[in-house]
Amino acid sequence: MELDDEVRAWTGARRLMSTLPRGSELRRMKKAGGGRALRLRCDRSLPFEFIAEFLDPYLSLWGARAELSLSDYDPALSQLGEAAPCDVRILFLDWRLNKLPPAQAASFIRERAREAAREAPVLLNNWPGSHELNERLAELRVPGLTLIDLHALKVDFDPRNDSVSNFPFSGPAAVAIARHLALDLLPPLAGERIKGVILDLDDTLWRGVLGEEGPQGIVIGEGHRALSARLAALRKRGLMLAICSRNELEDVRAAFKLRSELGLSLDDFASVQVSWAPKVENIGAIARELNVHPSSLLFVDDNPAELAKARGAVEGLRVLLADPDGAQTAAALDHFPGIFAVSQDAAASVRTADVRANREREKLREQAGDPRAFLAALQMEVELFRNCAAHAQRIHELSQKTNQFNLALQRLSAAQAAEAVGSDQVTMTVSLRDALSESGLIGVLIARVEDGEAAVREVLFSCRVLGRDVETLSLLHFCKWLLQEGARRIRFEVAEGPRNHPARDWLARLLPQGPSGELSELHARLEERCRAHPATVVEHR
Amino acid sequence: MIDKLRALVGEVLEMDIPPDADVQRASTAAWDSLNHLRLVMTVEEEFGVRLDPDQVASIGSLSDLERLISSQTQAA
Repeated sequence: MELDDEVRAWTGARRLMSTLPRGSELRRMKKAGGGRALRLRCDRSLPFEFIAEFLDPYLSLWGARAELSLSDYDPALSQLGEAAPCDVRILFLDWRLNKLPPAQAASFIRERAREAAREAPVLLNNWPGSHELNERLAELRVPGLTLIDLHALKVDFDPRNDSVSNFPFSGPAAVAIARHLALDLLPPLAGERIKGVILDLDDTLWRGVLGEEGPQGIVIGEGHRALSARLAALRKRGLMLAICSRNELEDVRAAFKLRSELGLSLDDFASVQVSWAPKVENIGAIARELNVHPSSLLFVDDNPAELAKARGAVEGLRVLLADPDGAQTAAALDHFPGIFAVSQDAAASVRTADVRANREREKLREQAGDPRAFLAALQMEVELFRNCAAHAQRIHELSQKTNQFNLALQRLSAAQAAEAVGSDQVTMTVSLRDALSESGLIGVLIARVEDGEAAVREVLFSCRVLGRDVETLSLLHFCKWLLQEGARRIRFEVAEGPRNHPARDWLARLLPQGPSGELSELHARLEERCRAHPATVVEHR
Repeated sequence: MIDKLRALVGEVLEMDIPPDADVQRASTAAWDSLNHLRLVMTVEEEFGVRLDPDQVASIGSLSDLERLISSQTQAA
């Protein structure tokens, strides 16, 4: 694609994310077609067609398109069990037709949502202005269920549309619901996730060139303050921020120190790459420092040539063309595919500090000389939890997000994660802290013991903690639990993914003959390997 | 105005409408109740008008739509 075409596409994408266009404009765009098919099944008592027709222009921004199947209009949702396999299920209900009191209505939908969530993640709408019902729906706690919060979207009613076609919302409301579905809710349910945002500085985070105008000369306007506030909120939610800028580091330090109206400090950034090196090199350094694949990173820059170079050189990198005044960038960030959180991120509060601490750990590793001295200097404390129901959400999150140390790539749904801790399976969750930071819950091992054999369904660890042999130490204790359950043999499920070779290589070193063997032999080997591991281990069973 | 309206109706109903031809709702399969509302919302956006429920219900053809929009745009 020529650069001019790319600039047009990026500007168009930013506008679609940051504003609500007219429906007629979107209707014309939908004919572009193409992309990965996302199979949606909608069971409904409302016309979904007025929303569905606007999905594709938004889905195309992340390379997807909708394949939709619709139930008949049925407030009882009696066709729920008849749907063909799909990626996401949508329950789109006219809550005005439900004459039950809110508590009973919530109980009615809980059972149906549970049934639907066994097959795929479920989206369910609440109702604008129905406060008591909405409170009940928000408390449903069905694993795999996410609300389409029509009340928070502030969609407006249009009685004329209701009388003509039983569609109670306005045309702009239909566009707003479609954008919320296609850019906010569906991407994370389909595995599209942004873990870090890389920012240029000049004409992106502020207006002007810092090297020429100095810290006091750059302009920080309302749009820039809105952008900084969005970034601060994203960081609080668990996304990592990084800077990639061609500037002098001293100037950048001075700008953040002297211009406090930015509302961000350099400490808010997990990685700061400020140099005159090509940006592509700096983006690579950021990806290594954050230890995430570039396809989970969003690069925001006002210079189309930089975006084009980065896209060409860094596989899978997501890009957003910055508006030099900040306001459109801020609004677009709200709806960039993969940014919206469908659930609270349990590791949010610790992630940036933990990644920054990795720099200190690297220094310690160099100073310590030998690996054992390094591990001892860290003063690690490992906690192991058995079938802890409170960890189900984090298991789901880790399973969805972890790519490198993920042995079976099971991608457990919220419902499957809840099942893993609540059933007869042996599920270990691992938390870690050391002298430098709290890492939180960072590992999961799941097995089922049958007829003397432990079938290990999944082993996964956050890439933030690799290099400290916590995964091997955890497996030692997991094997002990499995022996106590009566297992004699062990068999690991292994899936070959594009990025999970660290996990596969680790297992191949432990079991060179293949992914199965005598459990007592593996246990003895692990005991030998972990004998000198200096971590303190506490088991909660 | 009629050319723009003809193009919009053609887009929503996904059909080619020859110049000077009228389109009757009753004899056009694609002009169902869903597309009827789509058509109304589209022409409202494009011509900056607002039709009330009785007017929407009275639209039985392209020429009806043309008359309604003309009267609203002239009144404005």
